[in-house]
Amino acid sequence: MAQPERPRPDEDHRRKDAAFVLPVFGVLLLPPFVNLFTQERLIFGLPLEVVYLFTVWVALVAGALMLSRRVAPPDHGPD
Amino acid sequence: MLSPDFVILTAVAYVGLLFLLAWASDARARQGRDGFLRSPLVYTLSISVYCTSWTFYGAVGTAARDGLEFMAIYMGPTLVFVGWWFILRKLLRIGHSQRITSIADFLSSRYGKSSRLAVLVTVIAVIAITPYIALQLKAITTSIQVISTADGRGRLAGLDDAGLGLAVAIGMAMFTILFGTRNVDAREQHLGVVAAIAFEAIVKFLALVAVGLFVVFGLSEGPAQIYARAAEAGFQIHEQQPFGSRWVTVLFLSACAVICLPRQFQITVVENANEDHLRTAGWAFPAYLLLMSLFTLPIAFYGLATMPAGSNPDMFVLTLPMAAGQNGLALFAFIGGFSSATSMIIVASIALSIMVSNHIVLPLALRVTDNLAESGAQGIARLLLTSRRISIAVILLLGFTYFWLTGESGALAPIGLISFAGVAQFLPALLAALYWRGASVGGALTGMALGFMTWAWTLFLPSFATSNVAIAALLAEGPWGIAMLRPQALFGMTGYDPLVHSMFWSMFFNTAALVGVSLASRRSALERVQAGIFVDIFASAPRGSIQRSASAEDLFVLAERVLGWRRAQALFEAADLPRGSAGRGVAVPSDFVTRLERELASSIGGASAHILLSKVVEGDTLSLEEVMLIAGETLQVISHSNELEKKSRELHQTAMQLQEANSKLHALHRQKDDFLSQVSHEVRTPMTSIRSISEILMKQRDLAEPQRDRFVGLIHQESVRLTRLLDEILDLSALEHGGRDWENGPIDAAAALERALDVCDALARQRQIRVTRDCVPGPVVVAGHADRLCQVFINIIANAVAHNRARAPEVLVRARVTAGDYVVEIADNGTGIAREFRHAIFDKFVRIGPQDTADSALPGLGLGLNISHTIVRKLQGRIELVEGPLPGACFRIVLPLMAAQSAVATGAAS
Repeated sequence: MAQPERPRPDEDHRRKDAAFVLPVFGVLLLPPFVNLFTQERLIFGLPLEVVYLFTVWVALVAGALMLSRRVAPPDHGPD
Repeated sequence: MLSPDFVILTAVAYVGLLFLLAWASDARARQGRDGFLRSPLVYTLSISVYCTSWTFYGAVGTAARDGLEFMAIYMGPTLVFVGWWFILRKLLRIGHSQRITSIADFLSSRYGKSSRLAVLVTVIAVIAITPYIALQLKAITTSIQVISTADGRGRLAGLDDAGLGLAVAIGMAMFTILFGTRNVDAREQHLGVVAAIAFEAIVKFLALVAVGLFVVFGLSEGPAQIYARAAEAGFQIHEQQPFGSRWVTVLFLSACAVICLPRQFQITVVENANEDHLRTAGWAFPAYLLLMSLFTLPIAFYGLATMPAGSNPDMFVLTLPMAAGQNGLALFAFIGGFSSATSMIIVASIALSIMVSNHIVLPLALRVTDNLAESGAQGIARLLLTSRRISIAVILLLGFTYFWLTGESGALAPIGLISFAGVAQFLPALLAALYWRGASVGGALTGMALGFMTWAWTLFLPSFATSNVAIAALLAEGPWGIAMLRPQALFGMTGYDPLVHSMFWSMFFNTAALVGVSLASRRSALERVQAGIFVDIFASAPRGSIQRSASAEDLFVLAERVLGWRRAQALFEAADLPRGSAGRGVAVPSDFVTRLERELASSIGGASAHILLSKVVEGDTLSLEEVMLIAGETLQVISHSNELEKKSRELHQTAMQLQEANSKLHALHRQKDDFLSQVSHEVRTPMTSIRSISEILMKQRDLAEPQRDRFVGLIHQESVRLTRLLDEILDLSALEHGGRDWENGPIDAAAALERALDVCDALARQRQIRVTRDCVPGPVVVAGHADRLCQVFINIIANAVAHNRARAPEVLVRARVTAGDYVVEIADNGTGIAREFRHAIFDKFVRIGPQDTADSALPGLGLGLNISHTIVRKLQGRIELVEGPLPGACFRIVLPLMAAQSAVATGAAS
């Protein structure tokens, strides 16, 4: 099986920046943003704010999963 | 329903299973087959010790009472782990490189291995965790009561709540002591415990998911139906109030807690085997939290809608399966809750006991007795284990006391949040440790103490209000009736949630004191070193530049006492050092001392290891100060000497220039002197003869007429010579200093040469010298001065004629036009010019060969060639001595042609 190609340095750097940015999406969980979804509405029979919070949560996990696969291991990446 | 005996038996059996698991894992690890135990999966699962019985039972209760707030408690850690690149990675790297054993060790190491800070952190941690342990005891007690109530109290009949709680606490203490402090070598990585915790993470996860699935799909038809039924029953399924400061505070608190809780620090940093595991934990732990929270709301709403009013929502996870008659599921749920409580109690009390023994007991013991290291075999190891066992018991007792004092009126979640707010006081110092080099131990101490006191006053103390009238009165009226100091309305700040209020003030005082005191205080040398290592952990490998020495014997004794004989032996063997009495007086290299300090620190913490070693090792703290001082001075000296060097380089350059100028001046001076002495010599010779002849003429009046005439002729001749000399000197000086106007005009050089040859013709005839001409016909136009050029030609031809001593003397004059130049060569067949004079031939007063002024018609003055040289240079030409066609000297005069010159001029202009 072919070895995965070593990412180019600038590509590597971009992913590392993404690793920094990901937790910044935590603002999606803070008021006033999160209050946009407290509208007493139901989505598929579930409250909108519940659906919204779990969606953000799933997105954060998915983002972290993707990044963890792509950011170079600390042994190889320049620190 | 289930009998209490059966429930308790199940719990004991479960504990036995954990023991077996831990034992088997340790055995595997000892055989070196610990690959799986050190895998990212086990690491992630063990981190989920974050989910305690608060999560298992309390989250549903929170959801039933306060809606979505419970989610914030899991989203804070999610953000921290999703952003693992920020803080956790650095924490782990430092933890590994410094062999950190606890959060107290971490902070004290960073702030100059300060014992006082370690003690403060330990005290805060123990007090702040007490409510949390009480929470677990309460959860276990309540769950046992709930699951066995229907069957009467059976064996538990004789016990009230407090009695049951005490029984649980004692059981837990024994269990943890047996479980967590089996290791005699006292190393702080507990593979067996971690394996058991990971197993418990799976159990509680499966139990909660099983209950969740049963409620959502077994009892009802999907979550939508649950919401619909709850709405029908008159419950609010939407958030009642917009997300506000409390939501943000809980989010912040939970993010702090997942870093600062001693048990989280223990599992995440200390027990971590490989930094790369964070990569997996970064998404897997948030995913675990997500799945744990998925069923919380449906369970809560289903419980609210179906259970009788007034039933405890904290116990819905247990009561719903029971109400549905699912005893097996209820028992599984009980085990799940039990396992989440035990895992928290095990790890928290182990982490706290390590802190207590390393940072309080051991330093105290070291202070009391100076020779603890010699107090019997394994003195320190035994002391550590004993103190750990006792502290576990004390910690659980404290937890029970809190549980007993606060009563059981409160829900689970508020108790947990009190603990969170307590440990959050570590956060400012921790972040400063990672990112701010200027933070000092004074700042950390003051900030943490102030924050802790504020927390204790505004949050911890009020939690006793329900059971204590005095505290309730204090809350209402403030101490001594001072309303400004009311714990829940400090400085008149009212209208906020007590948690928000407490967090605001404690974080405000904490951070302000940390920053203020740090800026105002000076850091010690050790602090500066440690700050550099911590903040720049990724920049470069830490250097062990501090020189320390100790004898191998002393060190081995110390290592043996703390690490045990086996590890000490291995350590010394690896370093190839002698042991026992053979090591007496053998000096140990400094880097080995550093390595040993880290090894010791991994057992007893940085501060204690430092104290212990400094008793044996010479030149530690003190010489470190000195070293730093020296280093500081050296730095200053280096910068000074750099400046000096620069200055001296400049000076050197100036001196060189001066020297050059000086030598030039000297040369000029010498030239002038030479010139003067030569001139005076030249002038003196004719003057002397004129004087002596005129004296003869004056004294001897009776001289014969012919003789008299001869004398007068001589006088005339000499004065002519004198005049000529002076003329030439004037001429030269005029030429050299440009005193006379010099204008180069177009002249016919060939005509000038003809003229010169004609002038010299007579002289040549007189000496019977054959002059051969081989000249291009004129006109040859060059830029110059006709008379001057003629003077040059005459001078050189005359020289060639006058100094020719050959038997058949001959002079050859050749003139030709080459590309752009008029070249004249004047050669003779005389003796030529000796090699040593060639370079000086155009200098002033240089005369070659025997001087015979008397019989030469044109006696040389030594200025002719010099004048010629100067003139030719003024004509833009050159004169040089070359190898000629005849055996003697050959002078070549090269003059640029007028046409070529103007061509060059136009070429340059265009």
